[in-house]
Amino acid sequence: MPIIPYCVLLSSAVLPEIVTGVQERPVQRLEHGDISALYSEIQQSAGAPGEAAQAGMAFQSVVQQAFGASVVIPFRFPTLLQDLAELSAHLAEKHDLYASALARLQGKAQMETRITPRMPVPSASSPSLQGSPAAPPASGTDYLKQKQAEGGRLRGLADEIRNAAASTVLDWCIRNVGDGLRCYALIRHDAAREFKQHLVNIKPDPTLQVIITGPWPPSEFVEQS
Amino acid sequence: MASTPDYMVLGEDGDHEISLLEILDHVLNAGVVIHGSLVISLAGVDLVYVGLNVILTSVETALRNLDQRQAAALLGNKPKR
Repeated sequence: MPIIPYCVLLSSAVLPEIVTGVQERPVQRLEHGDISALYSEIQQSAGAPGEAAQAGMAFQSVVQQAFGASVVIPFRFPTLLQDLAELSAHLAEKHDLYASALARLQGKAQMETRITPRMPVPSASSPSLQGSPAAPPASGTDYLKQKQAEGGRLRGLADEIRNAAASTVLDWCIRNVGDGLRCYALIRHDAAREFKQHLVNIKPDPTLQVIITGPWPPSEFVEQS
Repeated sequence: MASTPDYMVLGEDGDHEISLLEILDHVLNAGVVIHGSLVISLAGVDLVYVGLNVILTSVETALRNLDQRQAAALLGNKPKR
């Protein structure tokens, strides 16, 4: 029977009772020495509208409940495995990585910052965007210059955020995604509010949107840089 | 220590309650990826990717069935607290 794994955690972690997960199936625990994984057996479904979103929410609910009690390493949703043997084999293969990461990341969380360009909206007072950073490029060269300038603005803002919250940031990494950046800050789990407080006075470039979410399990810091 | 994630828009006051879209964005982009033979396939298409398409479609469907005010709330355009 296919299974959906939620996360890896220390076998010694004492969790609250997590009754059901995806598809309202029981949440079970597979132990592999000093590490364990939470999972549910699921039915492959026809994928009715709304069902996958519901599954995603149920998945996150399980991970969040476990994270409330102990550090966890979540799997990407939706990861589906053929059976429990597959999960067991994965835990055996990655045991040392997960065990050392869980020990190192105990009491930690990550804050996620998404920086993206805002869609330009011409207004009655400035119907034309020509000459602005948001104006469509006139040529390929202009396009490349625009992209370079935009990249510079994104990185500059990421650096400003990191520096402002430096007293709470234990580690930091950035991923280029589509047209923006995702920045991940490793912090103490109890420092989320403090992290955000350091950023309230930052006024980003009006052409950029910055959304900060968290705290989340520190999945970006499983592999040490 | 159970801190529920929330979200903040830089340059705006206050925190917002995290929306459905933010949560789904997070679970689809964060977490360990298991590669290779452990990812099962259906008709030659990795189920991970089938799942992603279904997720995105289902979010769009869900939003279409909401009224304008509810959709705006889910997209994060909530009144400031």
